[in-house]
Amino acid sequence: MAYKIVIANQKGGVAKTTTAVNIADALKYMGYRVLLLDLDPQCNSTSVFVGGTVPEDENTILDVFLKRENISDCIKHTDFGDVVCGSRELANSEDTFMRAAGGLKIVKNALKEINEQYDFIIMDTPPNCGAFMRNALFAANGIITPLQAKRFALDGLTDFLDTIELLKDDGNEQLEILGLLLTMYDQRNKQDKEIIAALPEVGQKLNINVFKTPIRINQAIENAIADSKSLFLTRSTSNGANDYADLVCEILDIINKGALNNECA
Amino acid sequence: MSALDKLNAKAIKKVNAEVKETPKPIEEKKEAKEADLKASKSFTEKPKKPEAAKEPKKKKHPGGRKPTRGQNGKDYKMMNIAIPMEVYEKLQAASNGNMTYYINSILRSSVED
Repeated sequence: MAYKIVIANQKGGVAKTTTAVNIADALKYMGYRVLLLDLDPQCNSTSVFVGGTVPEDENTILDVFLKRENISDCIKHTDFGDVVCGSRELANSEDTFMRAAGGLKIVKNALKEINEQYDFIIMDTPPNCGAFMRNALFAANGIITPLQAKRFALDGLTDFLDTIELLKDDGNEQLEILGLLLTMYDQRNKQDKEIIAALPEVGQKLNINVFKTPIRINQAIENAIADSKSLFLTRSTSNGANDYADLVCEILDIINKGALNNECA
Repeated sequence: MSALDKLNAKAIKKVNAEVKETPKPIEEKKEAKEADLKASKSFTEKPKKPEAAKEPKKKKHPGGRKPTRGQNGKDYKMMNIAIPMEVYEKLQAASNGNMTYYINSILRSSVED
């Protein structure tokens, strides 16, 4: 049964897409069956997987939302991995799904069909708490929240956590926050150092795990994304590859620990 | 440790866990054990061949190379010139193994004389 991870933060520019793509890539390299679901109307992770724009006749996530197509018909197999492509038209139809009855369970219901086909389903989300983000959170098992190591990093985090609690109450009790992930960390920058020092305390106060591995700012990550190539296969010695490898190991440990705890309970 | 090593280490753990999860049936294990035992017995029961005392191989021809037989029926050692085998053997015995030095010294002494 697939473990569904959503990469979510209502703030933009915090490396959600980069994190989603590299986690999916690392898990695939490790031999897991991985699917990336692009729920962001910007379609950046789709363009990394496809290596450009999606052909017009290709089924996208929009077909799942509008036409209720089977999600298995929307999976595109690429060299990078399996992806359900995003659509720019998602942005225009968001309000419709917010208001529609059952509009927040579309992704959850769609994923039931392919639950056994994959070990991990990674969901990339838009930078807002709209219909698509809520759909992803409703379907997910775990959340990773990337935070940029900058002054306003923690602003709005409590609101986001409230949204998660509401969704838990609405029916997705299994949802757990895997952790806060510090991205674009510059170890030479004083402000970044202060934030990384303060983050564990914030985590303790909010009762959330903070990943031990910060993702350092690294050009290799950007270059791999720009080339639509695997960071681990083309730039395996870079700091970026090392950080994401550590992160994925940490994620697996958390998930396995959780699974053990559930078995014990 | 590189990024790929880290991922590989985890990936191997996953494979190991999968192997552990599917234990072999007991009968299969027994059969495998018996087969192993048989194999080990047959290996130990094999009679050992008595080791014959090794003798150093004799060289058929001094100098290691077959002499060339001349038209007159005599054997010659082909060096820079063809030396009759009898002469060659005598020279070898006299030179105490270092024939070139021996011949050179003879030649030198003859020139000096």
